[in-house]
Amino acid sequence: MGDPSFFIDLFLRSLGLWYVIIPGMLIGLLVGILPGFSAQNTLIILLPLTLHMSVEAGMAFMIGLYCTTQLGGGIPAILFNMPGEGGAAATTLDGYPMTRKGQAQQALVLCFFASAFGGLVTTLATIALLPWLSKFGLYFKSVEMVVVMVFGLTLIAAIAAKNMIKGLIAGFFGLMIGAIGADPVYGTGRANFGFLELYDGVPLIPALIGLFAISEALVMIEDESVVQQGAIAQAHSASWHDTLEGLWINLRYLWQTIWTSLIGLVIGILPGAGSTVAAFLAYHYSKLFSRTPELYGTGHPPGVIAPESANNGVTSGTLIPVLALGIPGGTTGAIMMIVLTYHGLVLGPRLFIEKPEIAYGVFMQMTVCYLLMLLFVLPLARYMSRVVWVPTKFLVPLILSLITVAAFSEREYVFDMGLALVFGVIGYIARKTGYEVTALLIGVLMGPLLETYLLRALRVGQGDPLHLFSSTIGNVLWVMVVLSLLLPWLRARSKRGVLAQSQAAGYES
Amino acid sequence: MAVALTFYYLYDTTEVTWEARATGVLVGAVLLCLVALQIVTTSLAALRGRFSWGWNDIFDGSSMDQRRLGLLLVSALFILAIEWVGTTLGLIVVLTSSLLITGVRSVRQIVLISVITAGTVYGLLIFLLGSRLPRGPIEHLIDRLLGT
Repeated sequence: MGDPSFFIDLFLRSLGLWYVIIPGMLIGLLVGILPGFSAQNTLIILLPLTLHMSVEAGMAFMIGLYCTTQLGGGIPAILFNMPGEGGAAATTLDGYPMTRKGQAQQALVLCFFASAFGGLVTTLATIALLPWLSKFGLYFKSVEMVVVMVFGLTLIAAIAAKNMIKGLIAGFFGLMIGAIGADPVYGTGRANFGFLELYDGVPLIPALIGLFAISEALVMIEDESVVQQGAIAQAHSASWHDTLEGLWINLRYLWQTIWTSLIGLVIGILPGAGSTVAAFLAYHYSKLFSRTPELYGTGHPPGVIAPESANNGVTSGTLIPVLALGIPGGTTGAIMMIVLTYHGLVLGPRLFIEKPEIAYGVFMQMTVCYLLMLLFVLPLARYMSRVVWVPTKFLVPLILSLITVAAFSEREYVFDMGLALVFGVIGYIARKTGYEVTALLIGVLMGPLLETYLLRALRVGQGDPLHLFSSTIGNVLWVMVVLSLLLPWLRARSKRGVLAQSQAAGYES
Repeated sequence: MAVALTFYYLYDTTEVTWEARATGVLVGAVLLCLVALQIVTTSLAALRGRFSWGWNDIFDGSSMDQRRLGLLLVSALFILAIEWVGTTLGLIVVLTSSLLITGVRSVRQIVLISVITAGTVYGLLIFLLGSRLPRGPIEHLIDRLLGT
């Protein structure tokens, strides 16, 4: 297998599957753009179709669709502040401000390149490190997962930096909403307002649609265009030069694209974490290690690159436990497992010995998919960015009606459409009163995950809270959590110190 | 809202086991403290004249707010009526009303946008992907015409 000719042959065979990869990519792009439509649901719908294909073609089609969905989710996040997928929620933080400044085309180029390049890096890393990475997920038990979730919650503090009390209220309000529904141990219904539809907790898609899309549409109506008045001329004059400029910015932040995509890879291997957690973590660490953290949230290019490379890094990570261990970490992995086992393949370590062309072929198809993305999707940025020229008097009714329908798609309950509208009103009030909707969403997302892992860890430790500090990996992660909270404070302090010294020396700031 | 949800949560979970309510109680307690802190901070700022109490940030009764309220009302009615009127007809009505509310006056534009959008949703989601979006007179008519 170390033979390069094996991989070259595999690459060429994967390239020969372009006729299924490209249609998969087109469907994935559409599914990603439409909020509420997830790759998982689409893969389930198209499962019978893939079962009729050969195993290589079926997997190539699904991989094309799955990978492009992550990229597609970033498009409405950048253009309208409405993430198409949960993984793109962090992209709104800097992507939309870039659109408002008339830099939609550049932002889309940043998103497309970071997605494709980040995905490519992690796929190649997976091929190279597969035996080691396959064991990685096994080291993460409930205790370690609790720390990963706490890591996620520290983002609330980071987002709350502008107004700490309001940010924390939004985050904890989100956590409170996340606590609605059956508890993970006994399945007792809690605070579901008498609605059976809330028994499983608050569904993420209607919350995402309401908090971001509906509330944004209600705010958007105040202006004639999505683009700020002074930046309309710049938006209209965008040319191929802006695409090249976007690519140049990407090249400047190439190292960041690589390490944030690796965050995605690691998170992807862990069961239950997913692209949303990966994207927010990558954004957080990108800001933490940046020399200009104050620019984040104002339309700063690394704020688009980090979440997009991370959410695409997740894709290869998701498939590692499926192929190497035969354990699906999530719905997408489970669906792909169905296709593979339907064709009589035995998943796990034996797959790499008996059918290496299938095991490694899956990741090679992913490599081809990301290369095709660079070729075909990148030039579309110029044309896609023109959607923001449409006046809001047309956009708002279209968004509101389509988004309400989209809320139905995940669970197929009319109730979810109403729930999205309720979250829309909550999001609108939050925006108008200076409470961060992103902090609220993180709470809604992380609350149930944290509770599940925390209660599981406490049960394993027979109720002893010290059990949370009983693992070496967990303790290393705890130290990292503390450091990530202290570092911004220490840096701000030293910055103030430097400022005070320069003022004392007679230099005005 | 945060306070109301916390109290409702605490009231609703009084009889469940401690494991089931522990997280909510912990989060709720912190949330109540934070809200209290915010009220104190805002009150002090209001006393110093930096803020004034009121709803103006959210609703000031301007024509923009009336439009916003109209859009919300139309969307709510759409959701309430969708089970009876079906997705396609519902979308045509909600889009026509919303476009009128946002100030579009061209009948051609309104009809084109409403019908094309509703048609696309029907074709893509209901017809091709087999979504269980509510069906109404238009969907039943198409089914009958196609003999499905």
